[in-house]
Amino acid sequence: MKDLENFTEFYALYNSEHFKERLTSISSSSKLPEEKVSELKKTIERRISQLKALKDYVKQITPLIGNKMANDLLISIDANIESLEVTDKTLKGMMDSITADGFDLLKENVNTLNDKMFELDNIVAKIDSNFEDSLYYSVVSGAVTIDELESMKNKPGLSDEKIDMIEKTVERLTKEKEQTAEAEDQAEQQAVEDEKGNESETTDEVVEETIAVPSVSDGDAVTETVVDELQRRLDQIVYQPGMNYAQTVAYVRAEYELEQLDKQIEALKGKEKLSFKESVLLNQLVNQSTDLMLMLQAMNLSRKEQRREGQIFDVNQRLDEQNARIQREQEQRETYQSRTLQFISLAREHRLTARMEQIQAHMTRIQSNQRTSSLLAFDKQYKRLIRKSRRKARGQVVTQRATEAIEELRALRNDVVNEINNVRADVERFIHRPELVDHLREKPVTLNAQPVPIMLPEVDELEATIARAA
Amino acid sequence: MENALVVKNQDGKEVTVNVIDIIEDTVNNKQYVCYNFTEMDGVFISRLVETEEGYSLETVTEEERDAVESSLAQIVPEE
Repeated sequence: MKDLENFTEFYALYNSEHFKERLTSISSSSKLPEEKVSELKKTIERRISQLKALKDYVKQITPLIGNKMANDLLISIDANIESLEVTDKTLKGMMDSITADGFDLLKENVNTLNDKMFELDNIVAKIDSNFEDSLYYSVVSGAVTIDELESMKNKPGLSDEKIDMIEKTVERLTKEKEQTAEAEDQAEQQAVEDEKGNESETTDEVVEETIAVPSVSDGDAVTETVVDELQRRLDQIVYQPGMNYAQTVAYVRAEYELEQLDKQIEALKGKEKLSFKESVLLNQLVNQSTDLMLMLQAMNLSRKEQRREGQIFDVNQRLDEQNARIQREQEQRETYQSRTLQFISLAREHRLTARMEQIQAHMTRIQSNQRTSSLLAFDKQYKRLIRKSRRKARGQVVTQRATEAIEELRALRNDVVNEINNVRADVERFIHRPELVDHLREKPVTLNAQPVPIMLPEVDELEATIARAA
Repeated sequence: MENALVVKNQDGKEVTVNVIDIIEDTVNNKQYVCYNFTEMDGVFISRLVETEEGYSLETVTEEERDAVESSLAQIVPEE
């Protein structure tokens, strides 16, 4: 970090107001004296040498700020150097004849240079403010390994805050590395399955497609490769719960475009001589690259903000849940209170009902007693009548019984009379003549049948009786 | 035996019976003989029928027996 502070200080000196004022004063004068132009040329040469020194310095601190960031800085510095060189060349021409067009061109170059310096200043400030992200992207871009980053925290001069940032970054990267390893295992399994289905697609073709670098001279095939590469990267995006998919896609696209711009800038830088149009194009490309880089950083910041917003949302949600729980508890408490009141009123009602039942029972007893006393009075009042009635009934019964007895006696008398009549009739019907036995002896008597016994007294008594009757 | 009477049974043997009473039913115009045997206890009754050769003693019906019994009971004093 000390290196970074030195770098910032160094760059601040480079971007001093004194230098700007000098350039402005030179460019604002309507007529440029020769000594001023020569002074300006010397200043530009000194500035170029300072920029080269800055370039070397950036190369030294590349492991700290990350390969990508370092490349961006180097590209910006190179663009500035080239602008200065262009300005220097222009000044050489101006030494011979200074024209109004040349002056305008110089003014434009100075303004461009100032803008670039301002952008460089911003980049350096952001490097300082996003130290943790810079560490993270330095490992992600492959400039530094995790072990190297971990060993950096032992370097002298680092504050505790920065050491904590390095440790956090190492932890985060280790976790991501493990997740990536798992994802790769799954992807390998998937690839093995896919390979079984599509054996025609060879690994070489894939590699070729991946490392294909677009150049200015390439035609539609290159464009197709570029599109394929971008599509491949977009396909590698794995959706995870909570991620902003659209933003991730935009980020990948911007990153890819930045790489393409870098490649074009490298291609232009590779040329020995640049025409004026090419130098302007280079400036534009550098501007675009810087804009994209800033946009990527802004997107990173936006991601952080989104995460923060997500955390705030979670906190709010928890707060809402807690409020809802408190409200539920209050409702339950109110319900409990209302139930308690209801219970008390029910208990009171129950007591009153019991008391009312007691009173009703008492009234019923009183009414029953009254009824009993009334009945007793009634009984007493009409007892005589009952007695009289009984007596009368008894007399009627006696009379009825006497009548019935008389009737029975009459019936008996009739029966007796009838019996007597019957007896009399029988007596008159059957005539006993035992003396006729003498008449029977005169003729023979035959016993044809079985004699039938009859139930009668002894023979002697019977004979005597028959004799009396005869 | 004051009222002894010799009768022939179906085997042709002669048996002597003691005639106790000869009862005449004036309503039905029938006669019944009430008798007993010397060798047997009890009183028996048969209907007396006059034939060409003499008399025969026939078996009485239940009704005839009941009627004769009641007639005899009426004249027998109860103790």
